[in-house]
Amino acid sequence: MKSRAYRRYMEEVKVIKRLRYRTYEFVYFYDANESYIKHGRWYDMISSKIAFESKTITTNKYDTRDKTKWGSKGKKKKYIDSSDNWTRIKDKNRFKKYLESEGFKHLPTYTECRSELESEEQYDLLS
Amino acid sequence: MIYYHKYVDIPLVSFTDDDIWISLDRRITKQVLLLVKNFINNNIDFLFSNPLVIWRNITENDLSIILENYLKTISDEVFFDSIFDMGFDYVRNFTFFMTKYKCLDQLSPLFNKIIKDHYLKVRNDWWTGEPYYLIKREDIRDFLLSLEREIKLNILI
Repeated sequence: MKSRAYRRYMEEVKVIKRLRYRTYEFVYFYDANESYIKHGRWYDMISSKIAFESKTITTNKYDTRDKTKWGSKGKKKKYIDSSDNWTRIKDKNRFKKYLESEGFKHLPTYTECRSELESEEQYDLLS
Repeated sequence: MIYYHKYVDIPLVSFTDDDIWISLDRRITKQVLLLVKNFINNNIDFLFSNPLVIWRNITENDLSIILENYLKTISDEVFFDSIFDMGFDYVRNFTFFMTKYKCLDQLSPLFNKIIKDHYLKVRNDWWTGEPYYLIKREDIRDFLLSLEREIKLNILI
């Protein structure tokens, strides 16, 4: 699998291409700040509903209809194996459920852990 | 001017001779809130602006655009929670902007247009016929209802 930076870059390229096309459809639209924009450019659509919709990998074409990964590997995989329990998406969901059962919304960061500690002796134990 | 890069360079803060302007932009919420927190801790006064207007000098026509942005962004759940958790007095900042730039007359028509006729309007669902609001949380709706009154009180104080 390609690195995270490459995947993020490819997603940005794809989103920009789609948004540039979508600006020709809408002459007037509302941006993320709910302000009314006439003849907007593609960067006015960032973080709007249209931008989130265009973040998918899949398209209507046959080659990329059931795509699950960025890059050339995604094209070969034409189906999602539902019996495979150790995929990235299922791992994430399993981990999220585990955190909720423990009473966390998300994995606590280093600074949050530090703020909960009471005495200075405990700080020394961390370092 | 300081920018933050998200697909393109989006303006975050601008420094003029009189004021410091932070753009209340929902495209970069995290960065805006971090900056507000930093400014509060260092006791720096600032005003909020609209990202459409922040790159140029303000004229009389731009004041209504900034006022609209002040009213609209506080209805957002993320901004509402995080700004009040910081202990930041949003209403005081809002009144300070209006008194400084003398645009108190423009508030009540905008308040009726954006908040009363749009956010707090009772709508009926087409299928079920049940009433609903655009803003689901009740505490935000209560805050928006009493916002105009609180601004007037702040001006008197």
